[in-house]
Amino acid sequence: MNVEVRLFATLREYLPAGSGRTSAQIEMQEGTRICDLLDRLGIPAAIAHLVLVDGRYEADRTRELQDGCAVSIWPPIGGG
Amino acid sequence: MISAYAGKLLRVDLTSRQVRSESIDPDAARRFIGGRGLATKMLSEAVHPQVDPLSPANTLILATGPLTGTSAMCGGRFMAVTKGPLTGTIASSNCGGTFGPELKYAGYDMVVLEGAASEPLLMVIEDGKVELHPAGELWGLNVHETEDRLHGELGRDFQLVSIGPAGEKLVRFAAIINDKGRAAGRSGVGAVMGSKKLKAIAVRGTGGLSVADPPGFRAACLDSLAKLEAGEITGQGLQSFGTAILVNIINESGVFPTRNFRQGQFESAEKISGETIAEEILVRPRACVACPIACGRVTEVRGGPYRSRGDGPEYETVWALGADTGVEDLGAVTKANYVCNELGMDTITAGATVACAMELFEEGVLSEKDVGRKLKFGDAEAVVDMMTKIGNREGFGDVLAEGSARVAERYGRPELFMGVKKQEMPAYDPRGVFGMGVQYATSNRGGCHVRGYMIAPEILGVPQKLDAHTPQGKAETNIAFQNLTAALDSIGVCLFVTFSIGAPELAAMLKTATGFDYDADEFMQVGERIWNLEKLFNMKAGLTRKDDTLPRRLLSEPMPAGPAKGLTVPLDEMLTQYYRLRGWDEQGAPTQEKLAALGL
Repeated sequence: MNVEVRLFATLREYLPAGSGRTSAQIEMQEGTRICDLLDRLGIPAAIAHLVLVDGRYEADRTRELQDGCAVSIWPPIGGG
Repeated sequence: MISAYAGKLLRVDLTSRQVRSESIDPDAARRFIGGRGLATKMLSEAVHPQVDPLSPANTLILATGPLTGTSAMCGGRFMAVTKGPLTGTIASSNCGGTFGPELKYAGYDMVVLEGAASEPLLMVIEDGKVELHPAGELWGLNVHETEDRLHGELGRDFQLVSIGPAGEKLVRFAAIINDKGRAAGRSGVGAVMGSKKLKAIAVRGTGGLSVADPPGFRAACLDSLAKLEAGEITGQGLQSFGTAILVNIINESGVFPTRNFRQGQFESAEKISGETIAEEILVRPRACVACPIACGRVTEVRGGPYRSRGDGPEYETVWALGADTGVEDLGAVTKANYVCNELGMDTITAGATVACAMELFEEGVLSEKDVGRKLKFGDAEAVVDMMTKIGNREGFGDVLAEGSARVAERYGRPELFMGVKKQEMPAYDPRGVFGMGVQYATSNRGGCHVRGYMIAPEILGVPQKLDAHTPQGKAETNIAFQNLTAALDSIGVCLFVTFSIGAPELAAMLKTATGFDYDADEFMQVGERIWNLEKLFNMKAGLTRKDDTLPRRLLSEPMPAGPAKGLTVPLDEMLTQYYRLRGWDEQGAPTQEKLAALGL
């Protein structure tokens, strides 16, 4: 299955080579969980502070991803 | 004298041009601290809440806090407190830069500006010596020209606040600007300064400040500094990407107001994001006095029609001048920001007012003849052009200079004003972040995000994640944030420290600096006292429960698409809870018991 990964702020350095400014399409096995995706990209779980799946906050890192979904990940950020 | 305070305020009657120095009242300082709190107390006693904000009967107070100018990190702030010409409510606007600390080194915690001059004036303060000079030659200059001229004549050692043409011409959302790009931006405090015909204040001070417990203060400051530096947000994130790092998370969460809040997602958000700013136009980060965070942006648009260099844009600005007007051209957004800095006006209300006018234009309410040009969403050149026209009150800019509440009312479509108490909301659509809805509705200065930043828990997960789509628990958290922020705005330290520290650390610095025996609970209670005093001012100004509301669009038009699709703000439920937890009656008035408990 294909997942769109979007990485922001300092996490962009974990994007695979050849990605866009903030996003990449990644092919994963069926049943891949959020934590598996983090492992695949080499992102330490502690700095993956905010994970949105199709725009909705996801606290459970063992949740399985679906084909065609978009996973967006941020380190701790602030502003306003 | 109280430790950490300069100990004096400067009272200036601009009508008679009399200046006198008065002592800071230690009892009032203990109960209201300084900055926003102490200035609100003084304004409440000096100004009838129903005065015309732009008349000589209004007073404008520039107030530092006890930590301003000390070695406390981010202690470079001052507040401008007055009755606001945009809202008719209490107005208090926070500003960084270099002016606040310098004022204290010159011997004053506050400048209290009363009356109005008959001709433009410049005030020069140098180590306790105060002079008022005719400033006819400065009148009409923009902020940058004014600062360059004054630095040339007085020397670079002087720190400055000034107004631009927007303040002179009483644009209702004119700002007071410090260091060319730091603004007491919201609520029109610059128009009040303009109504008093005070163009600028130049200050130089060589004095020092003493704290009550130097070793204790040093330890408290180092503790807070270590937490700031260790925090991901305050230690690295804001410096690398600025506040516009929020664009993508707010947009992906479906609460990035687009085209006057008609949508909650902007298809071109990434083009105006903090990441894009860092790659394309950032020259370097910029910090205020004693600030290790450095969220400010020095930027340069290097080519094209908007080529120029200056300060900004920050998050709220890229939203107001970008997504809210449907503009995706970062160069144009940045240029429009520079124009606001130079003419001296609030980017949020300026952009949101143009967005409101764009909707009126697209609805056929405004014509090309009315505006003098086409004014469609997405027209970058129109946004830049209208900034110049608003700041100078030229052509249709003269209409927009009144703010979008009055514009929408004038053209018979008041429901298209996207704000509260006549002040425009900033860059978060509360249909998908409910706590921000009750915060906007209850903010004492109208639509505002820095009275209680509910985005932190509801979207950013700081200090812990709350479900953004439920009303449960929002009133309680909002009250705590409002009280914390009111106290914080009174000590002279930047709001951004609260991404890493809270009331215990702030109270520890305040206690060791002043010698007053504050703890975290009393710190929060001072914030509650200030909030209630602001509320009393607004009630005497004529505001009632009906003013604690949101635009009809947010209450009855469901979000059309995205993660918040189908939602509206369940305000009544949160507002009823909010009044109850505040100890207010059903009409939102503080009860006698509550006022007695707070000593008001």
